Amino acid sequence: MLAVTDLTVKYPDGTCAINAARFSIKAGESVALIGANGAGKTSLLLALVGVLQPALGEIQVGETILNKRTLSEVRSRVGLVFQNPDDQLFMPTIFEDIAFGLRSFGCGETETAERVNAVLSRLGIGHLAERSPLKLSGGEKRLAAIAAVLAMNPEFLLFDEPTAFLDPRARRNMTTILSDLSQGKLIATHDLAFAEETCSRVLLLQNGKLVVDGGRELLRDFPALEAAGL
Amino acid sequence: MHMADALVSPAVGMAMNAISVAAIVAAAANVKKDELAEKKVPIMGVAGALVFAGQMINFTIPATGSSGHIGGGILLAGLLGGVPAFLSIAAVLIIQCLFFADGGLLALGSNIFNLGVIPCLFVYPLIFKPLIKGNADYRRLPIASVAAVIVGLQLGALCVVLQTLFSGITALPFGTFAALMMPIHLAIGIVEGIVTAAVLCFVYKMRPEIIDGSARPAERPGGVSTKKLLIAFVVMTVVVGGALSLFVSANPDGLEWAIGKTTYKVLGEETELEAVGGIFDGAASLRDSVAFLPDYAFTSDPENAMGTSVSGIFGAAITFIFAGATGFVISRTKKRKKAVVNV
Amino acid sequence: MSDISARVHEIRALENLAAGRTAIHRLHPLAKLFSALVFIVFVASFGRYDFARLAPYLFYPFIMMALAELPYRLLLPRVLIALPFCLFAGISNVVFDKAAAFSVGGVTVSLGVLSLATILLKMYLCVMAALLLVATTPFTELTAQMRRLCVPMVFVMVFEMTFRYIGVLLEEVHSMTMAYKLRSGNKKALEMRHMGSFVGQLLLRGFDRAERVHAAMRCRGYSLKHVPPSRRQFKRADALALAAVCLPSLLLRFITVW
Repeated sequence: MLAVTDLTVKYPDGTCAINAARFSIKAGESVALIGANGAGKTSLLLALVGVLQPALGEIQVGETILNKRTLSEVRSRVGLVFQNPDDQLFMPTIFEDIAFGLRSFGCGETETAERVNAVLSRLGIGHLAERSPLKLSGGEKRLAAIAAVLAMNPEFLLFDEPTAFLDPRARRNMTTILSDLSQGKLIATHDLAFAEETCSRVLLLQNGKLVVDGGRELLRDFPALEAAGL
Repeated sequence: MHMADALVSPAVGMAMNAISVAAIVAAAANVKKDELAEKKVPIMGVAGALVFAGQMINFTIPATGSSGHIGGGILLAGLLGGVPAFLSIAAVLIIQCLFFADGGLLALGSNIFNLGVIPCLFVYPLIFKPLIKGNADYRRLPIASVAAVIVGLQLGALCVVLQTLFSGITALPFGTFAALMMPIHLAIGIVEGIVTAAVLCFVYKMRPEIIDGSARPAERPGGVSTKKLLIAFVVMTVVVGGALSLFVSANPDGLEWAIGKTTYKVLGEETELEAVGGIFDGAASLRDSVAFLPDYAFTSDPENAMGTSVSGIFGAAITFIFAGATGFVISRTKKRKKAVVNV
Repeated sequence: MSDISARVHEIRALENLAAGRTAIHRLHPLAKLFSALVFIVFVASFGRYDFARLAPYLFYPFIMMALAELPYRLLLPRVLIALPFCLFAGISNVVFDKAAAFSVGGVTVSLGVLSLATILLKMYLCVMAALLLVATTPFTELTAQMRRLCVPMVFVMVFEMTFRYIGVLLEEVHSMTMAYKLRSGNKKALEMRHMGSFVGQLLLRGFDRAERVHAAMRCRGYSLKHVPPSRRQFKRADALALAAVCLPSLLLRFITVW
């Protein structure tokens, strides 16, 4: 269970990015996070992994409450896939990049290699292992970025616009991959059809406020979506 | 090691500003001659931003627990060539000065000289390039990077010491100041050199064609013009250096005070101090023979400072309060006027 | 590394201030630039112990801040950036310069302490002068004046583009370091052995971006020859403002009030 109570996040200049949000995601549940540009989706994801510090409220993963002491533990249990894979792929090769997180959390070399290879073949990108991120296509980079997070076996996965810039085939592939993942997921996206295919529940953000928490039928309620700026 | 306005005298500051402006004009003319100039401008701009952003990345230095960040001069020169790299660095330094209060308008020239001219226009062509021998590879790149960064930082640190001393602001004797600055910058240089080498090797592995002077045969803006530029700089430095020493010698308590009076205070530094003292004596006699510089000068002498005394400090405090109050009253009046307009 | 986002925030804040519409904002940028330079040169020209004689110069930042309606809170912290090196040089004076200057109520103040105070006051005045310039002058006007002053076109372009991309690349560095930290078990900084590929990737991506930028610029007719004319006239008010800064600075240099 990933639970958020009365979460308020403020930017350095004092404006409210997230305003008293309250929701929870069960293990294995798949939730879409929708809202207009600037509604606070990315800020919410960043707050969930402790990059942005809440001004008020609490984030709880299982029994653990997120604070300075538990930061490292929460980050190993909740994985964030960035919107721009370039921001995430900084090692010389894909293999090194995926191994980076495992080594940082104290994995031995043999186990690291095993887990990297396992996650690569699971996402069907084993042939990319020794390639440089600079030389990959947009779709390949995104899969590599997901692999880097998946390798750490998080209980919850946060995705920031996983289908942005993808071609239709890569997008279909992404739908399959995300549906196959058994972890709890929070997927921030503007791609409503994609949300409908992958998620059972929808959170709608408007100006930092969580205005709707409901079933996926919301994705077809166009007047309501339009009212929220979508 | 950015110099600050508070640490340079107008003479030193303006002289260094003049040198740096001349360097920028000459370098811009040199770049413009290149047929690829139009294409290079965005790269130079982004490169400048990269250096600025890159300096915000902290890394831990193994076995010390302290952290460092990249410098940029040699790194950029290795990628773009010395002259374009210099323009990028100069742009960054101006932005840091204006928008981040890092350095200052008067000290800007000194900073551009220490961090831009020295690494990009002196050290890069004279040390880095010869060590690469027009043929970058994994053996030569690291050696050239480390050597160039160390030499660049040592010269830069030396210039900081000289500029501060010539300005007569600090009481640190030359020997002590140099003995503090040089080893620190040697350590920084070694670390920064290794990181620079690692970055250049990485870039070389991925895109060998980017490294300046590697695979591309002689399509860089000609070596001759760089040489001319260098000669021009040496001449300019000598001329301005001469003018500078005249200024300093016209200054009753600048170097004299810093060096002369502390010669015997600091143990173990006598030799260096005497050497510098000798230079100073030379400058002093030069001043006596060329006595056209007015002695009203840009300093005051210690006796005046004694006279400052309690009443002076009291006066300063009152001035401070009065100045603050003036600002406050203006703000209030403006706000009130606005309120009236709104009603 | 939250200081990265703090820096992005700093630039934005200064740009917002520069967009103000007070009388100071409306002055000709060159009048502001020259008065700042003159002010700094005069301040820097004072001797090592001239603390008291420097004090009247404080009127300049205070009056300017009030007239330009700039918040003290925003500008004050920036002054501290110049502090470390000034402090280093200043404190060494305290160590080396122990002769007594005067004493107040039995406490003797040494020349070194006096010179430290002078350095710090100079630092404050000089930093404020530069900040007041950029906090009241939009960046585009600054570069327009650079062109007018015949700064080489190549350099003005590099300068503009550097400024433009600092924000973009700072955010990129910010995300990259964040991604690094998230998977590095809460490290405060990068490990040195990762710097090569970390910075290398950043550079290569930056160069790719520069190429795309160049293409986009070309589509909109960019060329090094194009010089937009500067239409600003130097008016009487500008000359008066320049004189209002220069004359007092000059007078205070030669007349001792205290």
